[in-house]
Amino acid sequence: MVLLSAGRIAVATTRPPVTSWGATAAVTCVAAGALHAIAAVDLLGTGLWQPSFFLACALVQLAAGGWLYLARPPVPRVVGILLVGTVGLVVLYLTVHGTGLHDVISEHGADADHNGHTVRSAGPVSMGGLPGVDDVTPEAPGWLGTSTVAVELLAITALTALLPVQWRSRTADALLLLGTLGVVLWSTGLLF
Amino acid sequence: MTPSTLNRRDVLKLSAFGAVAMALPWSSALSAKSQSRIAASKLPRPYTVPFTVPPVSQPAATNVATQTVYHRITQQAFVGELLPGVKTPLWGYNGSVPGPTIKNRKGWQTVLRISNDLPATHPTLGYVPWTSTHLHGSPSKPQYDGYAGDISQPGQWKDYVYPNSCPGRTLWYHDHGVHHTAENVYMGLAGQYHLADEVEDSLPVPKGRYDIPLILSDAAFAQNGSLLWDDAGHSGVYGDVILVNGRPWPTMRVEQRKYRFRVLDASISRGYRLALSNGQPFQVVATDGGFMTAPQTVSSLRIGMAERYEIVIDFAGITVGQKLTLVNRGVPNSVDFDNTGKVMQFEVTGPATSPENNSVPAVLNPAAAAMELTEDMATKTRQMRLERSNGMWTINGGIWDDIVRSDYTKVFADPKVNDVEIWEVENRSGGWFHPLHIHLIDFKVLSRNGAPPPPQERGPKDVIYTGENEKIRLIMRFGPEHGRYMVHCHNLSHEDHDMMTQFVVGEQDADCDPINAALPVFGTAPGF
Repeated sequence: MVLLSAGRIAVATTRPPVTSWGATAAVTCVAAGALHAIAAVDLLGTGLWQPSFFLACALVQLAAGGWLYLARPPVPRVVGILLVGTVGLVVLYLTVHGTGLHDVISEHGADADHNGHTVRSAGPVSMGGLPGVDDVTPEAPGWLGTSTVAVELLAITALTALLPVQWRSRTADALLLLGTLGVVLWSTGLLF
Repeated sequence: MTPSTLNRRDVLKLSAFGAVAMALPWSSALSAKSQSRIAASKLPRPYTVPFTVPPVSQPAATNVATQTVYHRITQQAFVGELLPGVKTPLWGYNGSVPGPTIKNRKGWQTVLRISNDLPATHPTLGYVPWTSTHLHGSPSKPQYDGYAGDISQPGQWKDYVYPNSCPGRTLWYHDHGVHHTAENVYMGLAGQYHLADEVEDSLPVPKGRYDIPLILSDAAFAQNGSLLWDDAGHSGVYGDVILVNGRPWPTMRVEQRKYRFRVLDASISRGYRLALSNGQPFQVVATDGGFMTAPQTVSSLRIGMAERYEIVIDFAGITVGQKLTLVNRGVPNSVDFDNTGKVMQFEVTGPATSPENNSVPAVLNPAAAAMELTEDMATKTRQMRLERSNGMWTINGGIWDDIVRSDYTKVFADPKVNDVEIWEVENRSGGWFHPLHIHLIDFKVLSRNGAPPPPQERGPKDVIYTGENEKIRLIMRFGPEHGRYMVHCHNLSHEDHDMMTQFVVGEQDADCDPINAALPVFGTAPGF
C-alpha cells in the first residue's frame, strides 16, 4: 500500500485479507489438531507411544492452523509440506485400519487361564497363530477417527487450492493415483 | 500471485481420493451380514467350488482271527486350504479336515491308535490342547468313550477300542477334551465313521459311489485366512461360510438317479433347516441310530449339532444340465449371514450309469431295538432341565465342574444294565436351543411338547434337538456296557461352559473307570 504523508512517499506493508481457502485450511488444521488432542487424551494409559504420537500430531496441526491464518500469503513450499504431512496422516490411518495394525497396537486378543481351564476373548480372535499383524482382526473406525479424516480431507482440498497453479493439477493427479491404489489394494484383499 | 482456486477436474480428483479414504475403513463394517474379516474377494462365490468327500482311512492292520481292524490316527497341526487359494492353519486327523472316514462292519472291532501331536499350547488362544476322542453313536466302554476328563496331552497316544456291537449307522468321531471341545472341533478335529451291517446289506438303498457323506460346518475367516474365533461370551460360534466336507458351498455333479447322503451337522453352534430349492421332497431313511422302521418323506429337515440323518434325494426327474441347490432355511437363534442360507448345489450331468440300489423300500428296519420300547417298560421317569444360570449353562442347575469337584461321584441317574427309563428334557428358554446328546444308548422320542415326534425323529436317536420352550419325552434302555457316561448339550460352547453331567449304568469298577482304566502313554505310538 502506498501512502502520501507530509510530502514523503511512505511504503507500508499490511497483510492481505485471508482468502476463503486460506481460512478453510487454517480452520480445518486447527480442528484436526483438536481432534488429535482428544484422541491423545483418550489413549492415556495405553502406553507412551500412542498418546505421544497423537499429541505431536495435534501440536503440529494447531501450529499449522495458526501459521496458515497469519501467513498471508502462505509460503508455497510450507503449504506443500503441510499437504504432504496431512496426506501422510490419512494414508497412515488407512494402513492401520486396513491391515489389522490397529488391533495389534490396541493389544486385543485372547488368553487362557493358567491351567487352561477356559478361554476368554475380548472379541473375534484369529486362530491361526501365523506370525505377523494378521493374528488379530481389524475393527471399524470410531467416530473420532472418521471425523478427523473428514476434516483432514477438507484441509487437503484447501491446501491444494493454496498451491501455485502449476502444482495443483499434479497434486490432484497424485491424490487420484493414491486413491486408485487404495481401491486396487482393497479389491485384491491386501487392505481390509 | 495466482488466485487460490480449484478447477472442476481437480475437485473431482480430490473427491475421488476423499471417497476412498472415507469409505474403505468402513467397508468391512458396512457389509454387516458377514462375520469373516478376510477380503470378500478371497471368499468364493457360492457353488463355484467342486464337491469332494473326505478320504477313507486305510487300516494299518487287520486281524481276521480276532475280527479286529486297526487304524492309526494322528491329531496334528497343518496348513490346509478350505477357501480356494487361501492357506488356513488347521488341526486335523491325519492332516485332513474333516478327518478321514473310518469304515467297518458290525461285529468287527476297531482299534484306533490316536496320537496327540498338537502343539504344546494353542498358538493364539493359549490353552493346552489336550484331547479326548469320542466315537459319537458307539456304545463304547467308558474308558474308550471320550470321557471329558480322560485326556491325552500333546505328546501322548492312546488306543481306543470300539466293539461295533450296535446296528449299522453313521457315527462320527470328534474331540471331547474338557473345556476345549469347541475350539478343537472348530480347528478341524471331526470326521465320519460308517458302520455297515446285514440290514444295510439287504436293502436296495444307494450304496458305494451313491452313498455320500455330507459333513456340514460353518466357519469365519480372519484377514490372513486363519479361522476366526468368537464364541460371543460362550453363547455360540457362528461362521458366515458354510462348509460341506470342508469345502465352501460346493457343487456336486450327480446322475439322474437316487443318492443317499449321510448328513452330519458338525457345526459348533449352528442348526440348519435343509430343503431343496425346487421344493422337491426327499426321504429320511436313517437317524442317529441307524435305519428307521420306514422311510419318512419330508420337504425340509431340521438338523441340530451332532445329529445325523441319512436322506435319499432322487434326481431322476431333473433335466440334464439343470441345477438345484440344497438351502438352509435357518432355525431360530442361529445367527445368519448373507450366505448361510446356501449349502451346496447339485448339477445333473446325465442319466444313471448304474441301476443298482436305486430304490427305497417301504420297510427299512422293523427291528430297531430302541423303537420297540414302550412306556410301560420304564421303571423310572427323570426330569432334565436345560437352562442358563449365573452365566453358566446348566443341567438341573448343575455344571460339569460340580462333577469334577465331587471326584466324579455325582451322577444324574443310576440305572442298572437293561433298565428302561423315560427322561423328560425341558428347555424353558426362548433364546436358545440345545441339542442334547446322551452317550452310550439309543433312545426313542416319545413326544415333543405333548405331540407325536415329527416324521424325521421316528427312528433311533442319540441327540435330541431341544428347541426353545420345548419339552420332550425320551425312552431308552441302558447298556450293554456299564460305568459312567456323559450327557451334554452339543452346542459345544455350551458343553465347554459347562452344560454337561453324567450317569452311571450298573456297577462302577476299576475295569471301566473312564479316566484310569486305559491311560494314554507318552512317546511315539508303536506300530501294530
